[in-house]
Amino acid sequence: MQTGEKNGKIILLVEDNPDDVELTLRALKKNNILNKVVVANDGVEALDYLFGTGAYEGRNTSVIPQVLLLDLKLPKVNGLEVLQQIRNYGPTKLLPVVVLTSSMEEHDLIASYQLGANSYIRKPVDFSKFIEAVKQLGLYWLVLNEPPVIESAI
Amino acid sequence: MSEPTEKYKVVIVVIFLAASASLIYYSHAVLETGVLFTHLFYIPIIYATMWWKRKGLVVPIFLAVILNLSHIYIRKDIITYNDQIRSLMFIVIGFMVAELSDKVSKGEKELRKSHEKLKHNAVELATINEELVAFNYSVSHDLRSPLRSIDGFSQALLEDYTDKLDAQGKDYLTRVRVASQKMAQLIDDLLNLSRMTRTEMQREVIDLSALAQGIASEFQNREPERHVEFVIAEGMEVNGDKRLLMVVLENLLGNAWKFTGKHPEARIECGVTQVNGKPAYFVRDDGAGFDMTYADKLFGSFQRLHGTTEFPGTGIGLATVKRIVHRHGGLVWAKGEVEHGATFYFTL
Repeated sequence: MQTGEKNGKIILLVEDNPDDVELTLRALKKNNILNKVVVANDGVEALDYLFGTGAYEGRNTSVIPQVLLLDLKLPKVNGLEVLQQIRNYGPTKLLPVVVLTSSMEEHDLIASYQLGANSYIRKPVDFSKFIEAVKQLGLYWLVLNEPPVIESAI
Repeated sequence: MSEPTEKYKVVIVVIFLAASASLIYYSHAVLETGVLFTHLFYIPIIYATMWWKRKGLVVPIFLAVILNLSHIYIRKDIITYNDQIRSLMFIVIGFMVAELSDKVSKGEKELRKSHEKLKHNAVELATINEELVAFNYSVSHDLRSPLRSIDGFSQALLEDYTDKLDAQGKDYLTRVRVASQKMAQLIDDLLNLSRMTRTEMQREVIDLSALAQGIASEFQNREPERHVEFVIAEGMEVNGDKRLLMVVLENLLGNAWKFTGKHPEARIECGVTQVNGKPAYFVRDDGAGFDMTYADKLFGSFQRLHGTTEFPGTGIGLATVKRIVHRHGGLVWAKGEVEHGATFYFTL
């Protein structure tokens, strides 16, 4: 399987740990998922990208990622707050969000779904299992799943 | 009954005092009797000594004095000791009530003090609990994260630099991966252990026999090639938290299953016996057993009596069992002999 490099489907990866960024990118590559991956290192950066503010001032916000991979424990604005804000913002209201975290606290799980997460995946320590998880994730969210058609921003 | 205010107390006592004094005058001067109706006097006496304790003795003393003065000045013609004895009784009863009231209020004060202390302890406990939750959160998140890096990059090395690594190098990296995965398992077990202590208990009547039967068949389905005979007593009913007791049985039966693994045939028994007049449930196996010298180490966290190469495990199972049984107000203990099996007992 090879998902399109040029089909323009963007993955937004929100992750503060550079090791995890590297490993996630590696896992995507291992599974031949060649979509463009935008990495945001904290919640603020993720929101800036989606809302076209701050460092991403002037970005064409009608280009919306196919899926957002969201870590929960982030500096500045945490994952749950990011989720809340994008659900309150018209253009990203329906954006598919996959929570990708190490936490298996029931509290995080419930809060994520309550705030409108589409999926919750606990990152396994075993990297082989992680690659398998990313494979399924890519297949499902980038190939099988039909994203909602969102009217362009404001 | 709430206490009246100080002002109100004074008013009550003064009214009854005035009434009592008038009654003395009325009996002595108007009715000209030698016998007094003094029952009413006890109202101000008891109130005053109850409220003001020994200071309140002023009231019976005052009444005693005016009764005697009235007797001497108005009715000195009647020579009886009636009034003197009555006035003595005022003071005696006043004194007794004062003492009693003093004791009661001291007890009340102590009660309030211990109540305060309890409240303080509850607050402290809540804080500790909150900290524990935060600690758990950080354990589950922060400790796993570096482990993922260790495992992930070890695998990346094995994959991308496979031609640069000799067999020993690859073996070392494989060991790194196994170790990091083992640590992840330890973290998960530790979290589960703390979760067992945190979650609220919901007691109900549980069919322990059915629970054990269910777990036993699960083991048998998982490894159908093993010859293990399960003997589970019928009709064991207990009062406890179903989810937690399930964990107890899973651990005890799981241990029995694990430690009989090296015997071609095994027998695992789950039943109930009487210990000190109380039902004690037990799980008995004829497996590897253990040396009773180390029996006290069995239930400690991360304590193991067998090497991991011999029997796998993290050493958290029996610690979890102990916590759950203690939460039910029970006891847990074990008997065993090397190569002659082990028996684990618990009461609820």
